[in-house]
Amino acid sequence: MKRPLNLLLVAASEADSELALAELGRFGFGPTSERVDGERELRTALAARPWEIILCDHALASLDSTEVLRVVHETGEDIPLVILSGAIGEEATVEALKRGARDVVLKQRLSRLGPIVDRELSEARNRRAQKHSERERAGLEAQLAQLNRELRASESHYRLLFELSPLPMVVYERASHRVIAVNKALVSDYGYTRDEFLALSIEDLHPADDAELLRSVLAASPSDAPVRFRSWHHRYKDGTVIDVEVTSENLVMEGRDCRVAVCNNVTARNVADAAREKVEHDASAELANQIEQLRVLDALKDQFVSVVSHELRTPLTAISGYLEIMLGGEPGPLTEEQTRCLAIVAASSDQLLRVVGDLLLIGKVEAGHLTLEIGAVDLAAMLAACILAAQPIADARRVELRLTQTPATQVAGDLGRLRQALGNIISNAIKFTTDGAVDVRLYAQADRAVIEVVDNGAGVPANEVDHLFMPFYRASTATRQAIPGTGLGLSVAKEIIEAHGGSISLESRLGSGTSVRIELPIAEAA
Amino acid sequence: MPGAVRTALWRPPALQAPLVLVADDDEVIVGLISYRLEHSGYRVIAALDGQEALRLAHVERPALAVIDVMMPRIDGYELTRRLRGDEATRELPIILLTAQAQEADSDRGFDAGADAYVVKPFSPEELRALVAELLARPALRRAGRSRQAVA
Repeated sequence: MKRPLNLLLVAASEADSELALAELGRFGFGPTSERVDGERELRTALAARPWEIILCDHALASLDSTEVLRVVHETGEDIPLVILSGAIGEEATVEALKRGARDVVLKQRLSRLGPIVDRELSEARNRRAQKHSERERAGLEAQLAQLNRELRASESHYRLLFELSPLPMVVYERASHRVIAVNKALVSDYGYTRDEFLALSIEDLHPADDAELLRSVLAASPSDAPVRFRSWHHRYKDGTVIDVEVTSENLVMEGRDCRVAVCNNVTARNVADAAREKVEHDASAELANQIEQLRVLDALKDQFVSVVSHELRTPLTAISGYLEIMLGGEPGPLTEEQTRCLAIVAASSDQLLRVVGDLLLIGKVEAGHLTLEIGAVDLAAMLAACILAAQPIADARRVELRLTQTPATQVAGDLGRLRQALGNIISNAIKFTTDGAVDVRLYAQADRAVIEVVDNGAGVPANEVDHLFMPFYRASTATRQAIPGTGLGLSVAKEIIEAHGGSISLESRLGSGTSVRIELPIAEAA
Repeated sequence: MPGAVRTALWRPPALQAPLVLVADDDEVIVGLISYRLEHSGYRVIAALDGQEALRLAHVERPALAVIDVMMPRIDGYELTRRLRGDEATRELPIILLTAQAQEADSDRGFDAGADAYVVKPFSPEELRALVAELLARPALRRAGRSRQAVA
């Protein structure tokens, strides 16, 4: 099988062409050829087909080989050109080869043509392959250059981030512990210049106290993940030691295994934390102290209540008990005058007993211990008893006590407590009245029992009305006129009435009297 | 004074009048209760502390005891428990006296086994009425003590 060959014959005579084709055929080629003369034909032929080789007759008068070489060169194609010559001098040969001809074949020695064409085809192939790989390499180099530019840009970004970070940062080599790079924040905080830093090792940044721990940390194989140490210390050039929280991570820099450490100065934060802890600790100590004091006071109060309770109630028992016996007449008959005097003693002892009861009740209310012993209470009977007890005092102050009531008003309540409440209110009404009257009214209104205690006494200023139910508050009228009292009566009454699910209100006008209104829920008929 | 009329007529105590033990460390209170009860037909023996009261309860076999809660040596609650725990005095009616107006105290008194609970200051006449009532119903006591408090 013949090797195909696209062969362009330039300026060769027909006879020479035949000879050349025959020679090539003998060598094993099956050439497809075209024969052109003149420059225009040559250009047309070059544009029409991809030629593998050109044979050019040197002697052609119209177009010498120099011209042909120029035209072929213009196409930019690398087509080997071999000169076919009848007689060529050495000088012309050198000249032709200089201008780009691949070889010169003498017509007398045409047998060289086959091997030369074969060689040229092979060399042209090599040249093309080389050219191709050169082009490829140039492309790769361009890519590499681009990557390098990008890398340098990205590196400079990171360098900028590193440099401008407000957190001090240091890069040190893992093997030598030498400082490789520092940022601006580190330089300005730590007091070393950049050059001084580069002469230091990472150990030089730590005070002696950290040395042992630092050695063990540096000796351990560093984790690839960022590691945070919360309680390192760093030492400035001037010797100042600061608390730092260091976050470090592996980094390859200039081909060396390094670690970048971000050093957050937490001294101020630690100082603030310690101060806050101290404040909190002091505050809680102070609070504990206050609680202890309150506990002591509370114990004293309980003791006081117990003492008041026992030490006053026992003699009061004797006073009221013997009064009862005296007034009963057993020890001997009493004159009317003696009876009147003893009645006042009895009423006063009742009053004293009520004060003791009020103090104890307020103590219980404050301790949250107010409890009621609930039973059926006949309000009419209870009010009659209150008035009977208050009568001697009212008589002494020339106050008329009047009771207006509708019968059979029953509530569920604690008889002792309700008597205490109403006793206080009636006693107040009498105390604030001279040469007047106290009206006690009881009536039912819907499902409420209403008790009104109205006097025409001194009254209290309007702006004091709201304060009257506060424990120990005393109306200015009372203090100015030296009316005795503890200031507990109304607050005790309010606690008792409200504990019964009732309400109490007070209206007063200075100089014309006071009226107290109590409402209590009426008991369901059992 | 509601009791005044009923106690106006004084009789000397009969020979077989019921014996009441009064135990209180305050002699004035002992005197007051004794006066009232002796003038109402009872005999009274007094003890000024719990130990003495316990001894008298065994020796004298009273019909009823009035016991103050706050006493030296053995307090009223403990005395009540011991009397209840002894075969000889198990059925003795007991009235506890206290100056404490705390509800919890009356519960403690009843838990100890008292039949009635009286808060100071009390009316001597009301105490006398309570004594009479408890002595009048010995049979009821077995069925379960009534909780009775006098203020």
